[in-house]
Amino acid sequence: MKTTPLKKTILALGAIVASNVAFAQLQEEKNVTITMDLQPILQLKMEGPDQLDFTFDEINEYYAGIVKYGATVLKVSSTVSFDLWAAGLSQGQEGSFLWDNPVEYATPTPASVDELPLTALELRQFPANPSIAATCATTFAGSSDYSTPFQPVVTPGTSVMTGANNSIYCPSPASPYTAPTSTNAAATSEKYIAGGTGTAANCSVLGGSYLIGNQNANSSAYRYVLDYRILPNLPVTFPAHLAANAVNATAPYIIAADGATSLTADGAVYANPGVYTMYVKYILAQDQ
Amino acid sequence: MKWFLCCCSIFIVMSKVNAQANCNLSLTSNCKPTGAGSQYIVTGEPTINFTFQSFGDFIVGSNLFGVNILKLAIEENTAPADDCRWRLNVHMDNNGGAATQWEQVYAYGSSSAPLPAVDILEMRFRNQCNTSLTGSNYANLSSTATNLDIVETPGTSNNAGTCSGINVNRPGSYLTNYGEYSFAIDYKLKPTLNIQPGIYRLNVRFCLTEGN
Repeated sequence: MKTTPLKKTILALGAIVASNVAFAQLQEEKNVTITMDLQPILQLKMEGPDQLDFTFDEINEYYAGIVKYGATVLKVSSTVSFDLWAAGLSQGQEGSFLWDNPVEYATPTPASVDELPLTALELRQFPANPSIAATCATTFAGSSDYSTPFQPVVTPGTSVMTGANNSIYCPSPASPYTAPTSTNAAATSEKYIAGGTGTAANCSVLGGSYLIGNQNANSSAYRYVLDYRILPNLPVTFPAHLAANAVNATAPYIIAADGATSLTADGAVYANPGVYTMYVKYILAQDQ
Repeated sequence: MKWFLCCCSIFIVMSKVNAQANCNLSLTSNCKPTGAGSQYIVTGEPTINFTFQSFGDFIVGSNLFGVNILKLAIEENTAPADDCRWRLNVHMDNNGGAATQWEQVYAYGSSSAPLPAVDILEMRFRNQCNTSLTGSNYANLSSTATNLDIVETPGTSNNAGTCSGINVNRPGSYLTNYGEYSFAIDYKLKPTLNIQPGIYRLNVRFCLTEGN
């Protein structure tokens, strides 16, 4: 019998099929898909009163200021690297970078003004910003956090101080969540409580919690104690914010706050008596 | 026509190799394939979701017990007799990503932190007779390039029925010896800190092959 090309083809295909049957094997797989939703967790626990009152009704309080030691304790739990900073803000009744003035005890005069800079509020933190010791390239010791001691007025009756460096960071009220800029030159840097500008090595605190790991309050990177000070001096010019005294006077927010008020020199203009209010926003943000 | 036949043959051979790339390649045909006598069944959810939305979730991790159950019924061919042994193992697939990392499906933000490692997923394979090689312990895989054996003893036959010892690998059925031919799977997932937030995916593949 003559074998045609078509018959050859059929025979060959038949051989392939037969081969498959002959080598049928126990071989099977089952699949299960695992999905993992990792949400960034940033928890900031604030201990202390929601409102702090500074009442100046004694002469010594004007000269020495009032300090609220340990008024706020911040505790962090975060699954991601983070920065932590304080932002001094107001409603802007008197203007940007100025305290609100809901009550006036006297009518302002050209020399008695109700425009108080938000930078009159000073903070002191403990422990220091760990990114400074960890040599984040964008932070500077003594300038990029609030760890330096509150400075006294050197000569009573004047606004001369040893260089002060604790005025609160005040972002523009139009963008209150803008992070401080710690990349300015030393002594003009804007302040973080923890972390620094950018995501370079050591410019943030690694994720962790005050609940686990290092629980030593002297060195934990997840627990900060904050003191507050307001130093009016007499006449009331809040000398800590003045460019002549502020070590970081050229930091952008200091310039902005000073530019918003006429309390820029010693004694020529002074603060009008009244009730003033502002608020501090503590911001914990992912930085990785 | 000859060229056509050659191409067909090569295509079929290549298809078979690719289908077996991640499971162990069987070299023998002593057991009956599934659909021709043997059975391989997985019960439970085909997709398992882990959601971590609190700091405590990250620290404690998440355990899911008995989410899937593998059931086996193995029959052997008549010839050669007494020569059917099976093997069960598991490996992972991350859709072509780096071998040690989960596949990132969606990123929360633009973090440059590392992706989670595949070894954070741990599995335990339980049955009444404790026949799994991993016993009552959780085990993991450090890479998508490696396998984790659940049952595997080439050249050694371990018969069912005694409910004592690991690696039962001879013909039998979950219908008659449930404690030796079924595996309940527990999953444990504990993410690490400082990795990129996002949604991740990993495919876990359970391979049943001949283990001669």
